[in-house]
Amino acid sequence: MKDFILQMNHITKEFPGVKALDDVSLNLKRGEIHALVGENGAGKSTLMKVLSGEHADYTGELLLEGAIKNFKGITESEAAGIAIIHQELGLIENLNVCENIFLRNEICQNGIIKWDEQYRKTRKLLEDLNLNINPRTRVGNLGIGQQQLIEIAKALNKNCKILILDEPTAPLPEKDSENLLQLMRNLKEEGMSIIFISHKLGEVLSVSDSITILRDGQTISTKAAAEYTQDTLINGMVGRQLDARFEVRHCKIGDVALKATDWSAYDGINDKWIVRNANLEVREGEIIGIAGMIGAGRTELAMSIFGALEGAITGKMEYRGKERTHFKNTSEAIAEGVFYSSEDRKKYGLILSSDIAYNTSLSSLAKFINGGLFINRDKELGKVKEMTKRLTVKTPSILQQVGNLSGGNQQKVCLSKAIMTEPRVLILDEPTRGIDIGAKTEIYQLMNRMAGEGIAIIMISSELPEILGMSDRVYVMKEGEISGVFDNSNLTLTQEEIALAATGGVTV
Amino acid sequence: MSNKVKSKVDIFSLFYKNSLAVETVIVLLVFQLLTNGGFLSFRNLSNLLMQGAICSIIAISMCLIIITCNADLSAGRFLGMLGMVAAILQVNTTIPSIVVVLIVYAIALIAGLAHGFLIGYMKLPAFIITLTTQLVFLGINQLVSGGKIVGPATGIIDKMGNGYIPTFIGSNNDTTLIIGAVIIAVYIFMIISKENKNIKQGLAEPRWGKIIPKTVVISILAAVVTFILYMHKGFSYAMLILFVLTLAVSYVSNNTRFGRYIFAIGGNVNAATLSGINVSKEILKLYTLQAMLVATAALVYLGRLGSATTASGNGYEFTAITGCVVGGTSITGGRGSVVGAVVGTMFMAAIDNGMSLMNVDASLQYIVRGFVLLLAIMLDAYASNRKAKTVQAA
Repeated sequence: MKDFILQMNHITKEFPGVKALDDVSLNLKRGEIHALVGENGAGKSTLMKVLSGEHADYTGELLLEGAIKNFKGITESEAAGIAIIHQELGLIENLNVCENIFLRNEICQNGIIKWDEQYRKTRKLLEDLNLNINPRTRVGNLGIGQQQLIEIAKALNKNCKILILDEPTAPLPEKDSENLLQLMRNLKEEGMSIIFISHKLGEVLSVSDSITILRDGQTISTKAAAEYTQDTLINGMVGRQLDARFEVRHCKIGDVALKATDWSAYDGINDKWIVRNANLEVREGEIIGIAGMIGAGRTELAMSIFGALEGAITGKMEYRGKERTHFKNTSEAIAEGVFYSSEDRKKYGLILSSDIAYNTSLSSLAKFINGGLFINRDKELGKVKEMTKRLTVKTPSILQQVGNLSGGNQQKVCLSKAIMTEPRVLILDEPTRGIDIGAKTEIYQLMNRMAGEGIAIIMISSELPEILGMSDRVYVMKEGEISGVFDNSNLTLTQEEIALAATGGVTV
Repeated sequence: MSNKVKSKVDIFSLFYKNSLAVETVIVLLVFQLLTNGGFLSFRNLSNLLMQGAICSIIAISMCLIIITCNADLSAGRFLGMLGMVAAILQVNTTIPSIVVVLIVYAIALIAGLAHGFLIGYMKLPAFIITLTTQLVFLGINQLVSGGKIVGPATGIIDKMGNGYIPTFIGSNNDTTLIIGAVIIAVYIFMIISKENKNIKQGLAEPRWGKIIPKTVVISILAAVVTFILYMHKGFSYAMLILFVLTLAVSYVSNNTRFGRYIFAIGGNVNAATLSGINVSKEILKLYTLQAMLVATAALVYLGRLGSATTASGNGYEFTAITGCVVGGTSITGGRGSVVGAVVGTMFMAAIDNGMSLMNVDASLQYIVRGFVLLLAIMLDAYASNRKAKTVQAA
């Protein structure tokens, strides 16, 4: 039996009024990939923060290679060989690859950086990782998948012994995810010990050696990966049997709600066409999926339809049977019945410092205006309460600050806000990113109900099962163009067909 | 997710929430001791409120501007220019004073729209733009006045700065007492009915234990202010203007779309845009409102001092900004209140007034004011960092 490189025993961590971790144990063998799964708020991130020293006041013991440690901050844990790669990348976009990798770790002689040596080492690291990137490339110009690999290179450069990947594949399209998983396997072969946190259970099962399930701050089980199946994992995470995640819809598909013809959008700042000659239509009661790689122009297409994109737009738009020019701004689009809910709810969706009621009603205040000027607060709060109940947002009060809610509940607030505008066309960009399975299922059911009410839904997603399970038709984008349109009314479309269109032929 | 109420008493946040009250008491006592009782005389306090009124009027909308993460550094010089234009019109022409007032507002409207266009639609940084325009305003002031002192102000403008509300019977300031009593009664009634409604709608647990003491303290304060004014000439029109504008803008900031959008823009401008808020338009409205309020302050200023100079209004924007921050407006945007800003500015006026009474050297006064702003910003930054941490932890 291999020895344990890391043992975390009986860890308990309390925040004022809430026990985030309750007697949790995690044992990592040398040279294994150990997955940590659980719903949002199960305590995965808190456990990792205990390990990295961000939370220094916990009870329980932490042994690294048999020696008791109590890290007081990231600097200490890094020095001991623990590297965490967070979901939000810690790279500086305006610095180049080499500068990022050696940030805070510069090779100096008398205070002067030895660039030649740094570039030489960077090239070596990139070669080892099979990355064909110039070390002088500005990190902001790289795709998110490549940025993640740079983060890993940065960690390896520090000679870490334990690599922690917190939801690394969440923002990645399938192909990049597969690359990353392969890289993890390679690192493992070379003796690296890896803790892998992910919501994507397929990946977890395929890549890890053992799996620990957390639920509500407690360890549910730790077993070898082979002893789990997707169903037993889900059972352990949610503690109940989930029904089929996708339900079949039987709603009537009506007239064309929105149609864009020869639609192009130009990005003046970077001087390039980000959407080119796209043709797209969505009908009432229909859910269409937009698949494609990150950076394929899906979000840009949605934003340009919503009037949120600065820059020139050409092409024809037909909205609810009438030809019209594109929406000048978002307020016009919302007034006409189009709403876009962003993929990044913290940055583009919510006012985190404000409460649920404030956020929910923000786009529909016109509905609550009394006497032309003032907001009728009773009416507003009544409607917010109704929405919060309908979408089962879990909160003690609608005056709770949105920043305090879990990811799934924040997403529900975003959706309440969207629904409150009474949209005819609703664009949902990655509606289930980073949220737990329970909330995901609820959001799918909600989308089905909305389609049943005759709302036309455009769903952008990087998760192919979601695209296949929810969409009547699927558009695939590649490099700003629509590279494929598929009918999925019989749910017969396969992941391979989509991947082929998204990559342009080079597929596994 | 933490749904439970935190049981531990957070001493810093308790201090931070009440810091203005604590500081005010300390400052009042210190000045009272150092000026041998001159500070807390009816006459001086009445005076102080009048002095503070001008900057407080600017602070009303300055606080909204800071909430949107913008600034207006031109307010002081803009006030000076408008005051000078009004003074010249009054002295050199026979235009009735009401028309002069309208002309001042018309100029303010144009300047406000210009600011709003440059900052809102051209998306230029407010800090630099207003730094630039203040130079233009100063130049215009010098150009039209030729560097001379122009006065006196007459008619309605004189009333705005120097007038007091007439009384029913003789020289007894009965109207002041009546207005004060009505204000306090309405205030108590509003607080109680609002809280009752909250409880009825299930939005909040009953927390009378917190609300009653607060209401009592504020009512007593209002009564004290009323009494001070009663003892010395009564309610001035300037105070009334400040009071009405504070309430009106405060109400607008909480109960209209415009007000909601201001906080949304400051809280997260990206999310605000995607929520259908026309950010440029709201910024344009905001700077127009600001120009209107500065114009009002300019008229009160001219009326109160009787004349305008090229130095008029110098540094008023600083007092107003400091007052906003002292009064709880966050320099990082998204948080703040109009009432807090006005109270904070009055606090700054009290410091100025106290130092003047003590004959503190002008250079020293600058240093003190600078440090007060620095301290307020540090407290604000520390408080928001702590808040960010607790949000993450939860």
